Amino acid sequence: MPTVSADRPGVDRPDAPSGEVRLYEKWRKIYPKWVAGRWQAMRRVVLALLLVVFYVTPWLSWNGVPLVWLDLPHRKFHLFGAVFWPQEFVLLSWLLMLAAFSLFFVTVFAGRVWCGWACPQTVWTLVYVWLEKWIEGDRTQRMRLDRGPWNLRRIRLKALKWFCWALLALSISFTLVAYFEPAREWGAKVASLDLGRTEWFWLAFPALLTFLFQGVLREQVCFHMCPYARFQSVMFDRDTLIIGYDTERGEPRGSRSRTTDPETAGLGSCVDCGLCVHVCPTGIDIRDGLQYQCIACAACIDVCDSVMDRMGYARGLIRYSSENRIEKKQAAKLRPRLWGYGAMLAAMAAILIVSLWNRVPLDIDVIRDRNRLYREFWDGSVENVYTLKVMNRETRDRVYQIGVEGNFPLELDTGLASNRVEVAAGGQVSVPARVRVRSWKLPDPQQPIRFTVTTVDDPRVEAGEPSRFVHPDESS
Amino acid sequence: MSLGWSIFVIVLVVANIVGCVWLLFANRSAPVRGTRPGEAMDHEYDGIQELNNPLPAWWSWLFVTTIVFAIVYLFAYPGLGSFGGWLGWSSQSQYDDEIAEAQAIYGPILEAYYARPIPELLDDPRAIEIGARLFANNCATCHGSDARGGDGFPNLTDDDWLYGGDPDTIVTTIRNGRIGNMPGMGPVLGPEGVKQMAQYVLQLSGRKHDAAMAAQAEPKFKQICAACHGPEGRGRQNVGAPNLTDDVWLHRGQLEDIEYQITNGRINQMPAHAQLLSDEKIHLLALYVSSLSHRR
Repeated sequence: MPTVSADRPGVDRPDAPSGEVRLYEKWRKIYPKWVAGRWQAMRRVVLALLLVVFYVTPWLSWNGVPLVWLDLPHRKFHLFGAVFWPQEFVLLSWLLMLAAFSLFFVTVFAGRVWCGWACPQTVWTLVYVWLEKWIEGDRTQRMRLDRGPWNLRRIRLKALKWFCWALLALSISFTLVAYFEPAREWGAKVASLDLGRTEWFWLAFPALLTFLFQGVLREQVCFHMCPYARFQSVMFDRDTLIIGYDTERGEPRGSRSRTTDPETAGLGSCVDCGLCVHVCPTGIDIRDGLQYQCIACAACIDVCDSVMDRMGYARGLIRYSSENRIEKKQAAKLRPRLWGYGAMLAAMAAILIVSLWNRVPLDIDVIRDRNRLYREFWDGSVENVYTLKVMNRETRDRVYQIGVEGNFPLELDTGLASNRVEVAAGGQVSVPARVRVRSWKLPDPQQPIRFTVTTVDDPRVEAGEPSRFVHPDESS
Repeated sequence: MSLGWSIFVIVLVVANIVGCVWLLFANRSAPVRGTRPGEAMDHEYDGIQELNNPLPAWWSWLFVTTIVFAIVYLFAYPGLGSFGGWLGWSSQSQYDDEIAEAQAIYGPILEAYYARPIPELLDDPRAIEIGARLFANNCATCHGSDARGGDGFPNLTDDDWLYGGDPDTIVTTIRNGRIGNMPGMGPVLGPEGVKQMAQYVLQLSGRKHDAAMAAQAEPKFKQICAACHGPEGRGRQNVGAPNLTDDVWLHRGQLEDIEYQITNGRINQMPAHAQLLSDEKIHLLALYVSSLSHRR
């Protein structure tokens, strides 16, 4: 482990700078070169699919209800035909845990495939960069434009690019809002520009954010904002799938003609063309080894393979592999960490599926009157008053039977005929209820009771909620 | 706050902002002997080194933006001592704005109901629902969430009224509250007299009683108690004296409770709600209470 002692710059290390060093560096813009290849082809298919899913889903309906509709004002979350209420929040926590464990599992196994292949930042940045390339030209042309003067051509191109970016940004923010308000109504409002202040804000603000983060900042998000990039170092081990440069095969690097035999010339496979650096969207040199900036997009693989093809060498100088496989020539292996995360993942998936399967679309909440402990009648009977809230989470009207259970004789009076209440689809009804005990010999002033609510037409759908019954202390 | 404290706060705030600016710009570069960016620096802690990797410059510009924002904010909103801010915001004014906003939404609805008399609204289930919600928020604590009252809190679902059950009287009761005041008759009647009077009261309600003792109390009742409770004990609504013949016992109906009440009297109070609730809300509450007892 090298420790740099207090050596004297200029003397011990003649080329090292002395004096002051700037602690902040100016941001250099990266101009990734466009590359074609089998990985990029696959990647673009995946990214296109993701974009299609993002843009199309808000427009799909089932039974007249949007497939995905997060109705915040009414606090009902429509997902693929089911309606979730905030009371079922625990399902969301299982889902989030499932997402976390699948993230850990995938990261330990396959490194940063999420970053390069699925992350919205990558997907949308690619569209912004593609627009930039379409308008401003290829890598060399873009660099020349930015180094040149602010002439009419540059202004025209930049303005056109920003205009296209603005349209893209607005399409993204429009679609984002469409997940919260049905797409057709939202579209009609936007088309007629009949928007309130809040609606203007939610159209403009996400558009501004995507313009900034995916259009302007791009890799800065991955470098400096995204926590995933940084906790990679905890998740990776030497068997994790990464993009690696086969140093043993490639070094020593150097350019040579196609007819030269590299063995005789004492050269490795790397021709030092620098293309792997030019195509990298994060601007790194993969030949330096595994770096936190690498998003595993495989652009360097595709371009190096194409150079290898032209030189007549084997492909795979840069390839998807693991550190152990590249350096020590070990075979790919499954290891305890993978089994561990896999087991957790399976457990969370099972919990989620079981929870969803056992969903009962009926809820009852019991609020006991608190100011008065009990109501006494001069015939000796004692009454407790409750407010019951019965929630019908189904999509049709239902009639429910209310009951109460306890280990002593109870009478329930809700003021409703046969203690039955009708609740509209997706609705909630408050029912004042009285529980009365006529005569009793109970030792404890507080007794546990349980309110039950059962669907009259389908007794399997039932719910219950415990509460207390309070009466005067026997001893007093 | 006084001028002295105001100046104190202003000086501290400005000093902090200036300090932050200085700190930011003073740390933009540092003497780093002999190390190029990306290299290890000349210290190590337990084998952990620090690499000389520069931060992106846009971070420090972000910091500058927050400082500019802070300065603008301190002129727009309160923060510099007792200076109120150009926008004139205060938590009181924000509260007033929110009340005004709510009034703009709910005011017309409530006023529409206020214009209609209560007997007409008894057929309007939505008006009754609003009354029910207002009741749950304001009245249920004392009268119970089912309005059946309890020990000392009248049952609003029966037809037994202390002060009168017509809509106008209910409105008056809610607005002004009520103080029921029965003087104690213990000193006047004496312990024996109280026992006899209790038996007479039981007789009035048709309960099991000692007829002899009741007969002895009857003349005293007509002389003393009838002033408030009426000659037949049917109560007087203008003083809020209960009807003693209806077998409804607001303060418990066992013999010892009746004797206690005759001896010691009772002051029973309902708070006035005129300052707490608007006339429109009281109108709907009176409607709800009417609907509980008069609805068929």
